[in-house]
Amino acid sequence: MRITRIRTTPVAVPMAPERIISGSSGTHDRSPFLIVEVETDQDLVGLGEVSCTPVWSGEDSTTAAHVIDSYIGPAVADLDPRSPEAAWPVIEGAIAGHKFTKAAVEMALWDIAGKAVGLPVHRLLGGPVMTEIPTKFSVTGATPDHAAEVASWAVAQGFTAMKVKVGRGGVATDVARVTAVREAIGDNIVLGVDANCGWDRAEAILAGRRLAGLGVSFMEQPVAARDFAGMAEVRRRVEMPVVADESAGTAEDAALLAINESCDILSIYVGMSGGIAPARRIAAVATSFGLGWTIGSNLELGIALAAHMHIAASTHGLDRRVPADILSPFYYEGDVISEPLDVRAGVALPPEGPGLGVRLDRDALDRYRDR
Amino acid sequence: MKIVEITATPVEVPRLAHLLPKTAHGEVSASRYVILEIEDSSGMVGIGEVTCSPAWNGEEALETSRLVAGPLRSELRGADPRSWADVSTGLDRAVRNRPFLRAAVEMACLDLAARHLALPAHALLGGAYRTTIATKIVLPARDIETVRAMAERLAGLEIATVKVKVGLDVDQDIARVAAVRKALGPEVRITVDANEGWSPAEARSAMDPLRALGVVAAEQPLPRYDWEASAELRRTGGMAVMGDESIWTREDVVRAARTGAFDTVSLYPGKCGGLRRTIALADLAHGLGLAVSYGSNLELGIGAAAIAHTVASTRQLSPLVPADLIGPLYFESTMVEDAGFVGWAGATVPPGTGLGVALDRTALHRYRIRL
Repeated sequence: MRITRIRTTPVAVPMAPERIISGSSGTHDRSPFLIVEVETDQDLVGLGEVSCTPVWSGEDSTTAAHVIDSYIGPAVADLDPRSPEAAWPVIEGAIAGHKFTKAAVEMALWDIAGKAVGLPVHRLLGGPVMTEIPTKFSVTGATPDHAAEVASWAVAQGFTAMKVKVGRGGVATDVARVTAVREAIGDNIVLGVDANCGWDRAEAILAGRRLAGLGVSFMEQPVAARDFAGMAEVRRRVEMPVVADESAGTAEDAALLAINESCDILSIYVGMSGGIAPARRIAAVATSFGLGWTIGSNLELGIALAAHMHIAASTHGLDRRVPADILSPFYYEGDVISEPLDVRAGVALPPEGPGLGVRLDRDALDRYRDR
Repeated sequence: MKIVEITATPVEVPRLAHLLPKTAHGEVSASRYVILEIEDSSGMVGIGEVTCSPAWNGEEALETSRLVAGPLRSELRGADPRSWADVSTGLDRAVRNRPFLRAAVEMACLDLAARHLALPAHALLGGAYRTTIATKIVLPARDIETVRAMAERLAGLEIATVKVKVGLDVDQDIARVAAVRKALGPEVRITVDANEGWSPAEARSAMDPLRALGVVAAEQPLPRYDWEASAELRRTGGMAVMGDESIWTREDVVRAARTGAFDTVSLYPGKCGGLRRTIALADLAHGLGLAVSYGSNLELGIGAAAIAHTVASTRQLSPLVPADLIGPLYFESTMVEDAGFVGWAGATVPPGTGLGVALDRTALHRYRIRL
């Protein structure tokens, strides 16, 4: 079997306005994503998704389509799609950076590899190691009233864990927001915070002290992505696990975070690391250093979300203190896949169909096409 | 004063055949860059250059042009080009993780702001500590005969320092340096640049023979993440060790100092995301006891002018490792009307206001990539 062609379609699925997430790196109110179809000389097509915004990695549907047409597509032409690991150096070597774009092609190869033998990707990878993936909700860094309202809505949906965006407007504002959320949801909901690099060390330590009193049980990416030493100091001085997210893009980063004792848990993404296999390598490094990992989110649509579920279901070490951000269906008005994934409030069940286990809904693809 | 228009023109400029670069990262025969023009409400146009290199920085000319025409243009129109606070806020809202694009926007705005005041750009960066700049000429990692011929052609051009690219095969690397030494005589200072190409054992074995040939500094001998092995090499290798691929951000500079991996860091506006950021990094490095040298991505005339102004306004420069301010020498066209400020024996800061270079519109028309 060989790869013959890669088709790409830019999409922008509208989001539920009342749940749009603002964090310290901006507001995610638009998802200029790219749907990828890797075609073969046989009757199999692999699906992929570039789930990125320009303010996150500098990629959007326009750059991704160009990079696939001009660099990655020509490089992987004629390769056997059933060997994603063998294809990885070719994808990685086609151009520097562009991890979310590379991930879309890589996940499409896993989709084909699974479909070729009739197995879901997580079983192809030796799983399942879990059949029910614990998940949490993410609450926007808005006014205390609005954040509390969104959090209450999430509890009503059935979520038992969530994080609140902080690092916006100073520690006092952050604490007021988290206080309002805690009051709204009660003491039995697991509650964490995500600063998206928005604090400095002193703010993070101060916030950590105040938030501990509100029963906040984890702190994600308190300081700048490359400030491994600062994150280590924060970790030593706050009484809750620290999650590295923006810091943890590669297996090498994971090793440096571990050696510097910068975090307790790493947040991994199919997109940020460049694919399913690279994401699992980060998880493996975390586990080998005795650290946990969880799944992050850039509000993926169904295809990349399925990839996240297969990673979670096939890899040991998902840290139950910080449930996975498998939550994006709660934010979109629709999707580009034909049958919805089994993503509930608080738990997600990995797809059991072959490959990624999702099928493209051509009408939806046309409806959400970004013109 | 407002930005009324921002345009990106992708260009492809052939490199001169007799100077074709080759490094451990590979080789290219033409460069695809982007020329940026920012027009303000007075009708004046400032110019910038995105020194793209898909294989090195992942920024690519066509996608960069599209990012400019899309999100960047909509965020920057209406901003005051004289206010970097105003422009950089819009820039960060539009796109991140694109340091060479960020630098190009800054150089165009600086060009505008300085020309409105009838000042050279360095006057807005704090003034010039110097207007003549010591440089080194780069010889590629090609076969001995080719490099010998290139070196012989340089004899008589009053070149004080050359940098020889190595990192492919240690024996060949040493033989190449020996040939350059023979061609240029004992007085020429020689540095080497392995572009991450050596393993720790290879680097160790190369140090003694290279030192015997009078090599005074090794640039990025080891892979970018191998801080510890680099520190060990620096302790035992008997020559300066400079970080380039390892050094992008503040945190990297701090890590270089803390780990002792490098005694010298290579900076330049494209890699560091702007002229002001580069100067701030240089100050930080100096404060941490590191020497600062200026690197290059083989800029055309505008990018080279931006480097010249940045070097002019940098207080401390490494006396041992001069700047790679040589890009315009390597191209069929520099895209500016007068690139005479860069010569074989050294460079000067271009005189005149703004960046001190004028766009060569005939060349822009000739070398633009037609889509």
